[in-house]
Amino acid sequence: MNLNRVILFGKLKNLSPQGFIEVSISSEMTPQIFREEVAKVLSSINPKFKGISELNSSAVANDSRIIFENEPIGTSHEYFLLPPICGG
Amino acid sequence: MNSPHTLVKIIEGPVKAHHIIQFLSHPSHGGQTCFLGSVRDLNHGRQVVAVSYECHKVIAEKVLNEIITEARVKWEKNLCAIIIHGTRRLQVGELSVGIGVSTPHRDEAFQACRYIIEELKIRVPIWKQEHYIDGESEWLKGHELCQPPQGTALLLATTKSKAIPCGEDFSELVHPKNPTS
Repeated sequence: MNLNRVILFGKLKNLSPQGFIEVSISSEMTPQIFREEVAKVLSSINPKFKGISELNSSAVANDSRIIFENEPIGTSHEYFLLPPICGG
Repeated sequence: MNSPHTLVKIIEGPVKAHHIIQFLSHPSHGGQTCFLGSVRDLNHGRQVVAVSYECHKVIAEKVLNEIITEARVKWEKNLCAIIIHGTRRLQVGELSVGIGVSTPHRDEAFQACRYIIEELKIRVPIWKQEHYIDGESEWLKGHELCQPPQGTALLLATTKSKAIPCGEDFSELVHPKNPTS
């Protein structure tokens, strides 16, 4: 397990004052396990965090693409948690 | 004939309309269409003074290029397209997005331009935070980007199932109890 930086976007940035957190990550994790690990860290740093339900609508991405829900997240310099979008 | 060209850019600050217009010049193309999206001053009854945009730049530009490629397959292989999306805090009236398309004939240009903005809205990782006149701010709710398990995309596209949120059990989609023919 390595300690990796997870960048938060959109409303998720409100959960961490820096806009990112450090999480122990294995490249074999699926996105759902990844979200659970992120939830553990957020619970420890932010008393207002309501739990994994706040992350379940967010996609997981590595440096280059969004990860399918049934595949390992793989190795990446950084990881990204992408809440529902609304560009344009 | 000139080869089709494409420009996709995520920029800091507002989009300039003339950049879109200037790009759309091709000797074989008789139809050019543009879509310009701007920050408006009212949303759900609240007075908006500005909107902050942020994005995952690498994935956003990659997906925008994919969308243009899809438009070429659907309508015109020589379609030219430009997409510029602004980020950071934009004031009311400033342009957040500019899309331009040129094709030999107008019908394809209209359809492709509409396709690009609609796909952008649901596929490109861009978020916006509205700032209101009372000093409050709010991130807007939107469309989930979660990718269903590989192999289920076609099934999802051919059934009338509701959108599948991230973290749900996909096993029924991978191995449907009542597969449709």
